[in-house]
Amino acid sequence: MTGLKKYILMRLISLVFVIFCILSIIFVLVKFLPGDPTAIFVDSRFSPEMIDMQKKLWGLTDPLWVQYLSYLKNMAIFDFGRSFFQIQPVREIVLEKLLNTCAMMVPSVILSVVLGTILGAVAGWKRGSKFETTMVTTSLFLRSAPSFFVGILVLMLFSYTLRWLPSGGMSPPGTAAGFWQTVFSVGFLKHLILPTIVLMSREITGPILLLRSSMLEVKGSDFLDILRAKGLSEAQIIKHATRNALLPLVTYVAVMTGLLFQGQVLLEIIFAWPGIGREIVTALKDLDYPVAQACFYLMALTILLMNFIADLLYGFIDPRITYN
Amino acid sequence: MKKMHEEYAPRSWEQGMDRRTFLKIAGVTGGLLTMPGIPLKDLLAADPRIELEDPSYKSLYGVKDYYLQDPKWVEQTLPRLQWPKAGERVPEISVLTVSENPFWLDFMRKVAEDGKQIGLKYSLQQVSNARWLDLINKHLHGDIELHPSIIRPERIDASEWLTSRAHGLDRRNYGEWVNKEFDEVIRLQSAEIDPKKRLQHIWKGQKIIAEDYYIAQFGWGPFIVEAYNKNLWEGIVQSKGFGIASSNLFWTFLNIKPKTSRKRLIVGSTQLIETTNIFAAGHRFRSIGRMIYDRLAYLDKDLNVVPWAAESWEVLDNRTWDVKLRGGMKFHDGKSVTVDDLKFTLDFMLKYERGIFYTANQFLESVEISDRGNRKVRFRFKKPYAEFETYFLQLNVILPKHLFEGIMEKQKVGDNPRLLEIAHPIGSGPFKFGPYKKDVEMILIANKDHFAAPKIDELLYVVVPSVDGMLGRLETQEIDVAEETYLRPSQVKPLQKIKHLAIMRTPDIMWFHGVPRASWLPWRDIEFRRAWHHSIDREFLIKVCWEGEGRIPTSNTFFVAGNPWHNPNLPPTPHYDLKLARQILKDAGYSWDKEGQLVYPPPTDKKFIERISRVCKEGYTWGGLKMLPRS
Repeated sequence: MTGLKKYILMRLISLVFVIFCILSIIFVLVKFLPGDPTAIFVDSRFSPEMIDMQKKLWGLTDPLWVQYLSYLKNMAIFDFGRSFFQIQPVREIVLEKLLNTCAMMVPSVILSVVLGTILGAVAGWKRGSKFETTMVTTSLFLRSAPSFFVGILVLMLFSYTLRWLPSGGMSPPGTAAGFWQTVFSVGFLKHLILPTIVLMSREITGPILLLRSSMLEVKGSDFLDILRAKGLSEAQIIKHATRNALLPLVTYVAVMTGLLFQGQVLLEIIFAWPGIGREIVTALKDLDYPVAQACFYLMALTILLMNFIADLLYGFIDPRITYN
Repeated sequence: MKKMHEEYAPRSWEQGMDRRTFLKIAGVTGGLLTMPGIPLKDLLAADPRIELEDPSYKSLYGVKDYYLQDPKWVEQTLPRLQWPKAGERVPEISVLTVSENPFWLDFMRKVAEDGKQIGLKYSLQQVSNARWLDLINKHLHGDIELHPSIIRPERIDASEWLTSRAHGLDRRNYGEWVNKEFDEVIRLQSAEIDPKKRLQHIWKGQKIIAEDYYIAQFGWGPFIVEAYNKNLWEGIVQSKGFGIASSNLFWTFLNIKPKTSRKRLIVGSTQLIETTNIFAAGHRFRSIGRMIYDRLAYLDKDLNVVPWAAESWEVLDNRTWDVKLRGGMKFHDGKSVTVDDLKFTLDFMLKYERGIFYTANQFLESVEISDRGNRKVRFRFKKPYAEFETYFLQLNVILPKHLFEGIMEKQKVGDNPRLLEIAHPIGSGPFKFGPYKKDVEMILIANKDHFAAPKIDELLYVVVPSVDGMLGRLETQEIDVAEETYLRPSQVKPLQKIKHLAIMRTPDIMWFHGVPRASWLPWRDIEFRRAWHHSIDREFLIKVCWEGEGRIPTSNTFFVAGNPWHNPNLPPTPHYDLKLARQILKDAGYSWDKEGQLVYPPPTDKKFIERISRVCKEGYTWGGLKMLPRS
């Protein structure tokens, strides 16, 4: 077996173990949340047999170890059961919300990474310049500002004052359609602008600052002198330097993407975006265990997967890295 | 009411085991705790020392998993039934507040601060709504249960509050107050079908609660203040207690007319429906579902009962009614609504439904088509039923027989209609279910064939999760009105500057109250309750928490001035007077220790002993928990 294949196999095995631990922790945390999930919808005038029937249906009357094993089995096959509160299958609920969150996050992530890389690389290359100072100061400022605060400011300016852009939702009222129809509509693009601006304002700062620091290290490398001696242009040299400075960014982007896909609850409320963040908060508030468990599980899987991808990408980006 | 609990025979109270022994066993057996079949709760709960003055109330206290069958309830209750020793302090007053309603905490902090002046220490805990519901349902909420009114058409009936919050056998009587004269009044009013006579009983019930210093009304309100786009719309209807944009009392949605060519009314809502299954409906589909599934009767804007799907009804005797179905009605798929659909619906409910419809239908004995030609259906109840118009007819829907017949078997859901998948609800209501995107928007299409056909073409609900977002969209005209979003003065002020918005204030019938734990010390002492009532600064709630948008209650009753059931002859609400509160306590035998904390009267104080045993005002009879025997 080659080194890479062996590495992948070892990582997959450890991934399974980590997932098992995470699932167990999720089970314990959610199960031991104080409160009775039937309380939110059950009226005390309902017949006792109905309340009992409901609890039995949800498996809440089974012994804990039975509930745990059943839970592990269902999670392994991505069968999340039905929502206590909304009755419909959890898979449908969560998938829909996850897609909505992706619709908000993906453009922001891509734009943040691409623009942030370019700006950070140039800032690092032009050490001591006004450009670098401006980039660093602005990045630190934007990084410290809470995104919900920026969101409110942006709404006040562009929606309520200038009336240029809509104040929330994914599409114009009355035009809600399936996910793909919505995403490929002009109305969606208009609705996407403000959340993207707000998310980018924060997320672009990471790549800028990271690339700048990384570039400062790479800038003094010998290989750049050789490239200069070979007669390459400044732009080409920056390109080569950037490629070498990218490594730390790979990990950062992987982790950032994983975290972002947990949803931005406050932004989803401000922009009335029906994403996974709001769904998790609602599920926890209403003690809707199946939804809460499914959301946490998928979030954990996303982060683990992104980390795994980052580790693999390392080898492609930097040929010096091997998997022996 | 007794029948609700009859199937739960009281557990043998002699089988109880004390907590210490249980914990020893649990420690030894460890993993056996999760094995099925071991009646652990039976081992711990049902403490035989806890008794009732009137054993006929045992059926409530023996309910499975609650009260005596709940170790936590027993653990919390026992110390409060023990005779205080000499010099013993009145314990901390524990209160739960809900995080979604911050004004509860603000208000109780003031109450707690004032409480210090009379030697009371409060413990305030903030929990989520779900947790609060869970704890109050189990009666684990502590000393005072705070509650706002949540109004629905079927909750306009007096029983909904009088019975639920104060009857000795109702689990929603969170103070566990058992006044036998009151319960007798409730029994009489629930069987009295003459409205005038029934009203007299209801007035009496309110009087007893007020005289016994049981539930403390903190405030009537808050006021219903809403905004809508007056440049685009006219024909707004203000429904008492519900406002201008309520899905529960949707007169505005029927009568509103556009001033422009747009015939789609856009309504902002913080939440859409939880489900499209009427049996599994939570608060949202219960309200929005009214526009899809016709009820048999409805309320007009002044809360008078009016015919709806039922054209008329006739009393045959005190437990039998003939209901005449309105002619010409059609379901949204074009099929006619017939008496067969009505009979089918009630038969279906009786057979399968044990949720919200059960709260009315459990009293129904039979449903028969009495006169097919004249579209009459006969309802016979198990006993005289006073709530026929104001609860039964308000709650029940008409399901399409051609769609629901055999549905349980087809969808293989056993006996549980909550599991039915009803992707597209078909009713006969003034609006049809249209395109729906969960947590985003929902369109209801006007049913132009309905007897109360809306003047608009469509109702578009748009989800706006926050009130501030709602106000912003009103300003930008992205929505025309906000559903059941009651504004505070600080929110109204900036809106008043916006030319296209009209601010409407509708008379309310709402309240916010506190229920003391009458079965526990110190609340068993009517003098303590009286003093406590005088320690509540209601003006603070109205002027500070509600920013002036409310009324100080003139009397301690749920049925605020303006409510059809209001008794105008009640004793006035005890006024806020800490000196008087202190004096009452002093006269009652209480004292204060060096740290200023309130101390019980001495164990030899006969008047105190007598009051604690009687609990109720002189002349009334306590039937609830007894104090433990003196050691």
